[in-house]
Amino acid sequence: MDQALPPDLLEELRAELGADAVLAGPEQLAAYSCDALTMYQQLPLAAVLPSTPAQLAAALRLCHAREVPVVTRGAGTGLSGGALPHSEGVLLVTARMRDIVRIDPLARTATVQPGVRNLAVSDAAARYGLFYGPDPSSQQACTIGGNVAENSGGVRCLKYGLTIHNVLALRCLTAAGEEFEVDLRGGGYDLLALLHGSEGMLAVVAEAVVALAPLPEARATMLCAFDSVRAGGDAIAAIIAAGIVPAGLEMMDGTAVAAVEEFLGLGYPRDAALVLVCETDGLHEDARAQLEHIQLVCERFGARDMRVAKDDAERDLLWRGRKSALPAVGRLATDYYCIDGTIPRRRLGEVLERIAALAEEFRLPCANVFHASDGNLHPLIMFHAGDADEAQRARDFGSRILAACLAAGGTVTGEHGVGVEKLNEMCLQFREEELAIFRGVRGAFDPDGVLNPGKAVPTLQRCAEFGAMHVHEGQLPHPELERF
Amino acid sequence: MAPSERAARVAEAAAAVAAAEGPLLVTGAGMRQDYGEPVAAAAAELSTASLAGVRAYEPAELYLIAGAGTPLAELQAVLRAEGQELCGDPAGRTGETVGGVYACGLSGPRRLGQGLLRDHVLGCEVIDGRGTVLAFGGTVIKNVAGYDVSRVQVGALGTLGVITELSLRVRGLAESDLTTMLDCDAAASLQRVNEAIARGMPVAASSWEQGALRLRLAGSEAAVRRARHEIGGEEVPAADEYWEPLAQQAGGRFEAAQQVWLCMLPPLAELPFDELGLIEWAGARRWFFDDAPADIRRSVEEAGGQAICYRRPPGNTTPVFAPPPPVNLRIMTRLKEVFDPRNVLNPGRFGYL
Repeated sequence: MDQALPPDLLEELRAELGADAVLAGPEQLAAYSCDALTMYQQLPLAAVLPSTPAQLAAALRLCHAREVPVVTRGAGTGLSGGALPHSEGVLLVTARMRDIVRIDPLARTATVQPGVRNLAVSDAAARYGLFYGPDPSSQQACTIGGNVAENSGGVRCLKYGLTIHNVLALRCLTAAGEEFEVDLRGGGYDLLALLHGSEGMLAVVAEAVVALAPLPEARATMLCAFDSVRAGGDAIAAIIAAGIVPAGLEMMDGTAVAAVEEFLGLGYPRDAALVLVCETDGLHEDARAQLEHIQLVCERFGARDMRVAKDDAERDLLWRGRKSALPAVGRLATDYYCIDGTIPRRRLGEVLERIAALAEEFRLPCANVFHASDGNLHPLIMFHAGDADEAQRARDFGSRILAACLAAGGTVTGEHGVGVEKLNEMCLQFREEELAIFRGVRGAFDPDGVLNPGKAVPTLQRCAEFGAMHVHEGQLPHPELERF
Repeated sequence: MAPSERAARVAEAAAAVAAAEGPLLVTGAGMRQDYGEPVAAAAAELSTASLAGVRAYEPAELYLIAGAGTPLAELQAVLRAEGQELCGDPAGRTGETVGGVYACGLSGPRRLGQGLLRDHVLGCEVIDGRGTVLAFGGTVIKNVAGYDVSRVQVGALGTLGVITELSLRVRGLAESDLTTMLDCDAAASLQRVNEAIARGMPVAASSWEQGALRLRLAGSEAAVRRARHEIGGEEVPAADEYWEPLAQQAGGRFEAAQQVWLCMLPPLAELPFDELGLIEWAGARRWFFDDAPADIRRSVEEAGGQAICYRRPPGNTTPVFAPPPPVNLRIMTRLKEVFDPRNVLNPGRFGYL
């Protein structure tokens, strides 16, 4: 190892946090070399696992005093390399801070430590008839602190909101370990909003107060198939235009359906161009009536093989295919690369056509799943990570998909974050003037640049190099884009 | 407005900011100059009123892009024609501009069911204090590219940038909407409205004042009918006549009072003088008027809240905003320097910044 921690830092961390909370050396650190984006790997110099807010603050204070970079990590389920360790830094793991401090049923809030798992909040709230709305696909494992850092979404967010819509207050620590609270009481600038999606670069969450919603009294679930991408896309647009707010509206393309059927044999229509899974919830009256309305819309656009869940068992069956899409695709190739663009819903057909053309160009198969209610598209590129050429093609393919999402009026990341993965694409979405503001915002919170350096906001030099490369290929810039 | 003309007007405003040698008073319609501390009297006015018009509206995509100078009422009419409305119940009087309303960041009573104004801001175009035109966000609800600069502009009172355009989420109008009224004291009202929400009742807004709890129920006909039955109370005829002025913070005690306090609180916190107030948002926002106790700010802070002196009588020097704690203030001061290094945009509006 070339780099080393400043002398005494490990000892001081051990003294403050306890020996079992400080890991060093390649064997102990091996499990922390990446988040869920495994194509990027890096060992930190040390990992610390505080159990209390005081230990969390102490770890930050000690690292800050020596200007040692700190990368915060929850469960490590992030998909953009946001929690990729820093080669000269400390990885601050919040996974041991998993106390649900308090649930207030009447005010419908839960106060939790940052390492509490997303689903654990709902599990604890269930006895009061409440649940936590945002449901990222990793909700079994991912933590509330990580959800704040990424502003995580999920399936239900058109109706129940993203993380930012469900966090009422945060107790945070600055890079130097100073405590501050942010909330909705209206004291000056909305720092609470700014912290969401800030990818661990502005502050570290020590405690969060989240909003809980009443568990729906009823749910209604339906699956149907379309013979063309266009018909399915039009049906999705018409459902939203009709003013219906589904609790979930999920689409899979034919490739994804075939993968799922191969894997599970659930009886999804294998020959469909698109399969739609839709759920409504709320009071009995609403859940049923809204689903009936959605069925009528889908029929108008030629939906077939319509199947409405008769009971919870069938509901689980209808959902299982969609929720198993990633592992199912994972069986078809040694590796898959999950892309995260958002597009206006009406552009779905043309973006899928563009992805199909790119799949031919890069000679890699790609299945698509789509959070149709909010326009968040997850193409799954299949490749073999062991083959350097394929891995490079997968990365380039992904980058071109994001450029296509941007050209369609969308964004290069809907819910996975920029991390290390999409630094180049940030140069497409923003001009230098805006990136400079982002750097300034970071400096306002963390002037020494200790928290998660090198992530989320590209340097001027990086954009210059990336821009030169793309102009060379004749792809970019896109002066015709309606920039916003 | 043609795109080229819009761009020319934005460029003109940006040039005015770049050329400013002293403070600028950033305004929309200029109707909320009494909210916040006064900007230096010598400040030159920079109005965004000419940046009016809806540039894009996609009902099926649930968004709209409007120039900051567009009158809020005009936007609402455009949306109503498509059976939609802005999310978060923006509080604006006739004539106020959308830019001004979002810069102030105040919601009406239906924020209870719909969330904050900033929750539904998808993107914005702003001119920073150097005169640079910047664009953040977009038109889609899931977007985590870059820090969320768009939402921070909401409630920043024009001190972090001149908002020239906003991209806003819209929603369908409720099929059915009625108001039921129950007699109870302030403490009981907090219990009742929070219980109704926890049971999944479609409570769009709540208000309690002078012994009467009004619950506005909105949603499908079947859901509203059932909620009306389960909650009970007397149906209020022509309820719009009550809610509309309240949504504009107008009429009644808002007009008559010399001093108005806007208090944000944990919804179930009880204040000893609650009976004097107007309680909205299931308890999370409470208004107090001339008969509020002198130490209201301290009482509200002790209850875990924050009191804003929304209006004060001439000559009264009570700070409008209580200064935030030191770490927050340090971060906010640096943010202001990032967006407006020369401190020309509405300087002094917050008092402490």
